[in-house]
Amino acid sequence: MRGLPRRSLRRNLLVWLLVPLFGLGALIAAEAYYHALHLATAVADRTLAGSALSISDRVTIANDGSLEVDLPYVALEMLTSVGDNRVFYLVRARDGALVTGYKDLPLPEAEALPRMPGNPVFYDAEYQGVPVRAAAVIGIASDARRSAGYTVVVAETTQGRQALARETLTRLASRLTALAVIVAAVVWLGISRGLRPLADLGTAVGRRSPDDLRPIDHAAPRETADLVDAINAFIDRLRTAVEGLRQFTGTLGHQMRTPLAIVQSNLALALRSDLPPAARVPLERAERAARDAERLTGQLLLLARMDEARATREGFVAVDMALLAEEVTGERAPAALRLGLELALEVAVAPVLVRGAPVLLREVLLNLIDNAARHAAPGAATVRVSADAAAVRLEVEDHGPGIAPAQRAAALERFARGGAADSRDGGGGTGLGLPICRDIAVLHGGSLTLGDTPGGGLRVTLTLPRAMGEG
Amino acid sequence: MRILVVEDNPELAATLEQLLRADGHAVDIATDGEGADAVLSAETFDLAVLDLGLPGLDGLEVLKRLRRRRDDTAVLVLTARGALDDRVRGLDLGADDYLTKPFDIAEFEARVRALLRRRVGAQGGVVAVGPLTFDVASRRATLHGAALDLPRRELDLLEALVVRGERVVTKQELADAVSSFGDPLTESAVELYMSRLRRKLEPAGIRIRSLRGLGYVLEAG
Repeated sequence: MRGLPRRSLRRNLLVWLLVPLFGLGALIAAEAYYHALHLATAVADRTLAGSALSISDRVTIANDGSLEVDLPYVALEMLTSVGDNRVFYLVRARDGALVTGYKDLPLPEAEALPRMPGNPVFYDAEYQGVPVRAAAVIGIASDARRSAGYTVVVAETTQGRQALARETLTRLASRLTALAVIVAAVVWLGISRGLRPLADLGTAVGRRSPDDLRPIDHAAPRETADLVDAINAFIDRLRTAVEGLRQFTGTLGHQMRTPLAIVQSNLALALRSDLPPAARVPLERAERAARDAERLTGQLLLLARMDEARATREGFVAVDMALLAEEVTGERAPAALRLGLELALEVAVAPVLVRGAPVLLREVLLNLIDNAARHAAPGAATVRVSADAAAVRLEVEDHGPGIAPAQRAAALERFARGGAADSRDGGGGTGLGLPICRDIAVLHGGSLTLGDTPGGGLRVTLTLPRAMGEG
Repeated sequence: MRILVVEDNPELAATLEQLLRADGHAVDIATDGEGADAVLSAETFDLAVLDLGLPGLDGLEVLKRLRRRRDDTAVLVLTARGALDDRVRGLDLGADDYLTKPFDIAEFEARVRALLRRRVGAQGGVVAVGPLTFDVASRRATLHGAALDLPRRELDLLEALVVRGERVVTKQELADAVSSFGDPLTESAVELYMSRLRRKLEPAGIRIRSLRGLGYVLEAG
């Protein structure tokens, strides 16, 4: 993921939601604006027409034959009362003679003029530099002797109706904006809420130990089922690969052990006969190397076994550490004696239960005793079991050279340089025994620490959580 | 004594054969389960060294059939190290001891010695530990060929130690072995008799090692 720009899902969703929302809002606002304008125009047009018609009604023929108007001001006031519109009127005889009003007020196009009296036409024009809306009607004035046609125009400036439409638009726009803000906020929160199961899923996956290759069964939202399935399929492939590797290690270890055992035992057999130093010394070297190789193979097998236990977490049962210590120590005591190591056992409390894999816990103790036999013989070592309410401690204490505090951390690292060339290992050590023991301790939720035996020597302490209830 | 080695790897089988012959035993070899089963049903051995990982009939099955025939031949099971299930099943099926592969040859010899000693003891024969012999049937001990006169309790303790070979014998085991019905022996009484016995054997090079928290081991030489 690193190196690629991370795209925000939240931002993406907001953009996808808000852009259409604003587009739609603009359309709605435009439609509303024009509708309001249209409505205002229709209402105003009717008033204009009414004014024009009432003026038209007052056109009469004077005695001299000309037209005259008795202007009904009320009709015009009806118009001026709306906003601050200005109103213009014009009455012209059909022959073009001005009867009254603003003489340069534009007339409609000749062909647009109404044919019939009483039917107003409406049109937009510009007068005195401002847009106006005008209504024109034609009328015929007559007396007993003659009749004369005329045109009446009433115009008003349009800012009033535009102001009305604008106000409608402004109110609508502010509501739409408020709506958008609320929607954005809801979406923002909703995404956070909606993404929380994903974040939880991420935390759950992140908290896993690296070798836990079980499928995810975390409760995830339905929409992420595909993602979870994909992750699980990947985990499954990974597990198959890891298992293959583990099996290979195990098989390899097994296959190598028999030839190594043959080499080692035959070297030991050969060394029993009388040999000149020129033959004995190289054989002894070879025997030591064969022993180291054998031990390393055994540790590799143990490693494979432990990884398996770690991956499956199966086979954990209640184990009595006191009994285990008694069995293993008793069993190893004669062999240790042959190497010059006198074992002792101190059990402070029995039984003391832990939950674990008996095979692995047994191996820890075997390894620690073998370690003591290799480094502290001739001498003595003590296996000690103690417990408090929460923890069970198994200590193996020898009086050998110990491990300097500065090198202890390295001694617990697999194949650590310092560990392999350590004087404790006589140059031929494998640097795997203690690290595996530590890993087994960690697998059981405990720890393995290195310390000093009072008076000198190494004390290895295995601490495991105490299991209660059973037994 | 007569020993059958059941091991499919010929090199390892030959190695074990050489080791056992060097100790003066008569050794036969079987390289698969069926062969082992056939030989064991036809002939009598004092000890069978049985590898569990055999081609064909597996070692546990060979053991099961052996015990089903009520054959009490001592069986030392060889199993891959750490295969606890094999160990438990082997002991359940009647193996007398088990040894994880690969093993130290000294360890192998010690286990074989211990099993044979126990077998001799069980059959009322004469068990030898270095310069010490113990005739289980007549309950007579000799040291460098000379009769060793011991009080009854000490003789009981010596017998218990001798027939268990080179293993750790717990105080509880000793107390159980020595106590007669209605006459229980405390662990401190065991310690007392043991220190007397130790004083009599040590000049001859027989050591009774006391391992704190574990018990006693008889060591020769």
